[in-house]
This record gives sequence, C-alpha cells and structure tokens, in this order.
Amino acid sequence: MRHTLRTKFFALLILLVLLAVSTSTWLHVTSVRDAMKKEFEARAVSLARFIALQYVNPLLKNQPQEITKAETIKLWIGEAQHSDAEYVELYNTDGQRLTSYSKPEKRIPDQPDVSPSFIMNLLQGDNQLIARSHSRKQIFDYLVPVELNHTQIGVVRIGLDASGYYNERASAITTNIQFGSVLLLLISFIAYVATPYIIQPIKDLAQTARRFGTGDYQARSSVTSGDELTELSLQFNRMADQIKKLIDNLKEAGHYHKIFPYVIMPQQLFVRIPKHLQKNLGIPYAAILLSRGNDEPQEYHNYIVENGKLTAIETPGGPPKVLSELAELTQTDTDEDTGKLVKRSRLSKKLASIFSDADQNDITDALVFRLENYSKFGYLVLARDDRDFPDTDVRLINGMLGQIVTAISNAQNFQEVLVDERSGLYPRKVLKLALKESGEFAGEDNLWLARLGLDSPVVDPTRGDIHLKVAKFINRHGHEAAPVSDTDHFFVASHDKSWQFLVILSGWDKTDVKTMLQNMLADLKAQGEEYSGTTMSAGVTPIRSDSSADVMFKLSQTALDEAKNRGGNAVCFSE
Amino acid sequence: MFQRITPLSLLLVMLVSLGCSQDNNYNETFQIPENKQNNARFTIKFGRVPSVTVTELLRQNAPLIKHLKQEMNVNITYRFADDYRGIIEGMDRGDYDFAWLGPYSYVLSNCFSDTSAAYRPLVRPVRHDSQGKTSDQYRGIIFTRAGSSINTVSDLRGKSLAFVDRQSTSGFLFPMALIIKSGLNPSSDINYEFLHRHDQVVNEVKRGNYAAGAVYENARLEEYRSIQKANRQLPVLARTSPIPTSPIVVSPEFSERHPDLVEKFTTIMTTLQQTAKGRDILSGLDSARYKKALDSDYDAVKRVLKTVPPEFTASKYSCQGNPQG
Repeated sequence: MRHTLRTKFFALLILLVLLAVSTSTWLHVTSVRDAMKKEFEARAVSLARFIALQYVNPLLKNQPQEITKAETIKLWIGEAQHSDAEYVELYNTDGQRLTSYSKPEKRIPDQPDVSPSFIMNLLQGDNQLIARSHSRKQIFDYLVPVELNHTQIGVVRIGLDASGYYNERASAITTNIQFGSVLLLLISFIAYVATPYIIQPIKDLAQTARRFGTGDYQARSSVTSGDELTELSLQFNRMADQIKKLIDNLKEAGHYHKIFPYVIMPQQLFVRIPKHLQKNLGIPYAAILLSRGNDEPQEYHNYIVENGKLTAIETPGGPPKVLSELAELTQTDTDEDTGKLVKRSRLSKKLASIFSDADQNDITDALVFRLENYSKFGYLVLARDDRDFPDTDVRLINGMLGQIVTAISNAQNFQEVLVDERSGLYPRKVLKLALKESGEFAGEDNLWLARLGLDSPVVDPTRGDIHLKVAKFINRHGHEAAPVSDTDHFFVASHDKSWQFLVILSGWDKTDVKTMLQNMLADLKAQGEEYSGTTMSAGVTPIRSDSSADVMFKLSQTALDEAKNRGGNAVCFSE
Repeated sequence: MFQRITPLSLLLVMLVSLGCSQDNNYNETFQIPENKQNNARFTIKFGRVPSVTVTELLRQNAPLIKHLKQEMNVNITYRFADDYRGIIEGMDRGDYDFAWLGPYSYVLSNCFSDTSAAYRPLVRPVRHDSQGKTSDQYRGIIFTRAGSSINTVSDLRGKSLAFVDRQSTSGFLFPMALIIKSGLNPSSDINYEFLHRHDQVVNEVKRGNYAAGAVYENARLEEYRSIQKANRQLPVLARTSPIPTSPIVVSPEFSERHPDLVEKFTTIMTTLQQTAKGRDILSGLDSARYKKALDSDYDAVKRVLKTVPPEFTASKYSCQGNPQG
C-alpha cells in the first residue's frame, strides 16, 4: 500500500482528533461519575438518616416483630414521584432485619449480602456507607450505618434508581461523539485546504530533483518557506552544484576521450590527465607512468605534473628506480576491494621520489592505480603532502579510471595504427574527423587549420621520397615548436593532395602561428639543394564550430592560393 | 514512521475507549472499597431502662458515650427495655455487655436462678442530695397532692397509689416496705398500679388520678424545678431509708473475655471528675462523680426486700428463699 504524504497527514490528523475526542469523553465521563457518585451517596445518607431517626425506638429495642411500619416508610420512598428510592430496609445493630419495603412491583433483591454478620461487620468499620451493585444494574444498593448522638442505632439499606447516572453518562458520551464528529469534519476541511501550502514546497523540491535526475543539471530548487525545507533546498542546491561540477569535469574528460584518438598527440593526453586530476580534485602530485610494451613495463614514458606544472617527460630509457619497487609492490599488495587501487602507499612513501619537488617525507598519502586493459601498461600515481586522500576521491578516481584507461589505450593504439609510420602524419580522413571534434573547442583555444603547399620547379612532384621527407620535416618541426611545458599546444598534420599538407594547430595565437609557419618554411628552404627553388606557402583559417570541414578546407585553399600569388614562403590568413 | 504511529495511536484510542466503557458494576464504577475494615472497632452494647424518651436519653448521654468511644476505641450501642423486667430478660439472653440497673433490679438479677455467674457491679454515681451534699445514696418518697386529706402513710388506706415499676427500688420496693411497715396490707388496704416512669407517676398524682405516688426523691423537680414549690404542691408523706445509687454492671461473659476493657471502663468512670471535660459529662449525668460499686453496697436493698412479701414482687425474680439472697 502506498501512502502519499497527504494521506499520511490526514491519517495523523484523524488519529489526533480521535485521541482528543476519546480523552475528552473519558474526562467528561469521569467528571460525571465523580459528581454523580457524591450526589447519590449524599442522597442515600440523608435519606437513610431521615428514615432511621423515625425508628430509634424500634431499632434500639429488641422487638422486631412490632416495629414494621411499612406504611410509614412508604411515605418516604413510596409512590412519591420525587423519591428515587426503590426499596428500604432497616437493620438493627445486631444485624436483624426489622422491616423492609419496596415500591409496588419492585422486588427487593436478596443479593448482595445482607446477612447479620455482614451488617455487624459493616458497623465495626469506618464506613460512611458502602455501595454495591447487584444483578439489577439500574439500581445502586447502599448500606448506611446510622449514628445518633455517637450511638450506633442501626443500618439502613436503600436501593437508589441508577438510571439517572447511566443516562447522564450516555449523554456525556453522545455529546462528545457529536462534538468530535463536527471537529473531525472541521479539521478535515482545514487540512484539505491547508495541506497544499505545506506540501507544495516538498513537491517543488521533488520536481527539481526529478528534473536534475533526468539530466537538467541547471535545475535548482527555489523553496523559501523559511523552515527546514529551505535548509533542505539549500543543501540540495549545494549538492547539485557539486554534482554539476563533477559532471562538467567528466564531460570535459569525455571530450578528451572523443578527441584523444584522433587529434591529440598521446603525450599531450598523458600530460593532460594528471593536470586535470590536479585541477579538479586538488591533488598536488600526479604522474602517469607508461610502458610502450605489452609486457611488464620495461620502458617508461613518465608524465609528471607537480602543482599544475609539467615537470618532466622522461623519454624511453627504462623505469625509474622507484618503479622497480612499485613492481614489487604490485605483486604483493593488490587491493582486493577496489580492484584497481594497487597500493595506498603510506608504507611506500619512497614512491614520492618520482616527484622532483617533493621531499618524500612530505608525502602524507599516495595512491597508485594500475592502468591496464588486456595487459599492464602503466600506473597512475597520485600523492598529497597536506592530508590523506578522502575516500570520495578514491571512489571518484576509481570511477574515472576506466575512461582514462580507454583514452590512453586508444591514443596509443591509434598512434600505432593510424599514424603513417614513415612520416608520422595522420591520414586525411582522421584529420577531417579531428577537425570536426576540435571545432567544439573553438573559441576557447587558439585553433587553426593550416594548409601547407609546396612548389618546386626542379623536384618531380611524382617523387614520393621527397614528399615523405617533407612530411617528416613538418611533423618534427611542429612538435618541436610546441612548448614542452604547455599541454594546450598541439600539432596534428596530415597528408592532403599531392604536395599539400593539412595541419591542425592549437595553442598559438595568430602572430605566433604566422611566425612558427614562416620559421618552418625558412627551415625547409634551408634544408639544402635538394629543395633548391622549392617554395612553401601556407594558408591559414581559424577553426570554427559553425563551419564544416569542407568549408574550412576551401578557406584554407583560398588562403594558400593567395599566399602563392604573393610569392614563396608567405603565410596568408583567410577568415 | 507512519507504520509505527498507526498502531500506537489505535492502541491509545482503544485504551481511552475502554476507560469510557466500563460495565455497570457500582464498585468498579465508583471505586469504593466494599467494606473498609482497617479501623474495625469492637462494639459494646449498653442495656438500659430509659428514664426519659430514648432520643432524649441518647442526647443526654452523648458526651459520655463520645468520651468512652474515644478513650476505649470502641463503638457503642444501646439496647433499651421498657422496664427493669425487660432488662433482666435481656441479661438472661445475653443482650448486653454493660447495663444500668436499679439497685433492686441489680439484687434481683444477682439472685436470678438461671444465671450461673452473676452480673458484677462496677461503678455507681455519687450525687448531690437535696441539701447540696454529695452522697452515694438516695431515698424514695411517698407523696400526695396538695390539699388532699392524706397526711400520713396510714391515711392511704383505701386510696389509690401509683408506683413506677415492680422492679423499681425507690418507685416501688422501698415505699412498699414503708407501707407494710405502717401496718397496711398492700393487697387489701390499697389499690396500686405501675406507670413505668417516675415522671408519669408525678404527673398522674398531680392530675389527681391517684391519691399518692412513690418515686425517687428528686423526681418532682422535673416538674417544679424547685424543691420548695414541689413540697408545697406535692407534699411528702414519707421518706424511705437510704438506697445505694444504681450500679452499672458488666456481664460475666464480657468480663471474662475483655477484662482490659472492663478495667478501662471502671477507671474512666471513676476518674471523670478529674478533668474539666469529665466534670461536664458528670453534670450532664446529674452526678458529682462515680465510685466503685461493691455487691455488699446493696445489702440494704436485700434486707428491705426480705420485708416485702413475695407476692408483691415478680415471683420469678424474687430472691425470697434463694440461697444467694
């Protein structure tokens, strides 16, 4: 059974009303009972005394057979309408019944006990009276000892009509039930009218959460009811902000994932990952250690970032000494729970030696994640010098690890598979795809598409070897031009039609692009006689998100044509 | 939470409803203990011949009864009889624990042949006599009406006389002894009747229904409030010999079962004059104090009794010829 909040609220109100009415009824009935008790007892005592005093002589003389004056008693209880005594009996102090009289058609019950011993027992006690009920529920049976001038003169038994009490009690109950019903209706109505005001903020919050849950990460609660719900709303918004931030980060990572295989040179990716981990999680030390082989890493590229700055790219040359220790650790300390977390290394602070800045004693906590898909290919090492890693970080990084592994793996694979091994250039198809993807970054980065064209009066255009040499030159020159420490710079080159190359440039502003290309063209010219008379022009167009690859290809061609018209080694822009 | 609140609330409602739906049993309804016996007290029954009406006697005795109840922690009730015969019959049945007896009825009860152990006198009052002196004796008188021709007891021959009761000491036995002593034969020389109460005798003589009457000494004061006026209106023909005051006696059964209460009663009665409250009680009882009573105090009564022929006393209660007498 599903209870809505409103149903529960109603049910609670009804229960409270029932409780209140029941309590009120109980109190009312109790007060009626107490009042009637006093009234009945007072009536019984006064009537008993009144009757007994008429019969002092008979009561105190042992002549029971002579003192029955039923006719006289009849006056006190008889048919008189004002009297509600049903019967009267007189007992002397020896417990002997001296007389008894009841209303016509009323029978005096034998029960409860009125034996002489009971009466005498009663006289010995402190009782003002005792009251009993008998099988005739509508009568209260009173036994009243009567004293005159400190002398006990006897006991009067009186049966009083109790219907007055029961009627009064029934009336109290009825009144309360009627009142309760009205109250219930009233409160139900008020609750019906009022609940929306109470529940609406909760509904609003739920609606916001639903929107957020279905992907609207901008959704924020605006509940300002001024109570605990406002606090809840505030906390929800904070939570949403955090999630949004994380999602943004993931999105960004996702971009890299999409682009990495095609666009970004692996080494830039490898730098970028630690950088972003630092930036988003505030981890001061991060490094990716990669092997080139499929077996246990023997040859590493180590991309180490310290405090947001790339400090080293170690080119192949064998693992740092620490890695051999790491290899030992991985064999013995695999973390079963997290799977990928190889070592949480307070024990192995020496890992910190891979970070040039960090004194290993400063490292308070280090995490080592194994990067592997089908075979081990590296490690992600993170370290802090301020405090331990919170568990949330560990979980978060574990969650991201799959993506990182895929990205790195793809980058490595594509590098091996797609890149022309002779020239290091990507196929034109890949570049076109990368162009489309990198368009998404347009506006954030300095992204350019450059078309480089060669003209040589001496070189036979059909000579592929010359073309390959030029291609190698361009690729090498481009990568050398990119500052090592700046991961925003990248350079992706591709073959195009005969004697033409397409290059995606990132990280250089317009002036720098021009300078860089002019230097490249000059260098090429200086390569020697082999290229004597060869000119190289460049046409550059900015990469825009709203332009298609074909348009940008055409624009770059227009710019190249213009550069050629200006003469060799010119760089022209077409925007 | 709802799932927890619901049964809890229902339970509460049910409990409250239960409180409203008790059955019709009075004791449960009104929560009165059936019979509070935590301060149960023993009940002592006093037997007495009322000299006045029952309610008046209770009123007069109320201070004493209250005092006795407090001091002895008992309940007290009375059994009245119309005359001393009734008292003696009640003693026969064991109706009383204590009884106020006249001197004559004490003597009669004491020689009652069916009683294996005699009622024992405990105390008797010391009263102010007509001269204002205290005395543990009183006298009976034979009086007539002012203006009658009767001057001596002997003049009563052929006259009608009103007595109180056949068991009355001052209202019958002692005056009768005087009459016999004066030479009159009660059975042939006078007509007499029993009116059962002293005030009745005074009233009837005053009205002239009887030529003379026999009562205790101060009975006329009820009517005239002044002894001089009483002597003028109802002159005294003769005064009897001193009669010991009436004893309060205790039954042999009670005496045996509750000797402590008997002792206490005697002590209370004989020390009443020592406190202001006690003196108030005594003045209500027309007494100066109470003294311990002895069986020998009533030897005078026994002697007088022997001078009265048995036919003038109730034969059953006559001690004539009784070894105890």
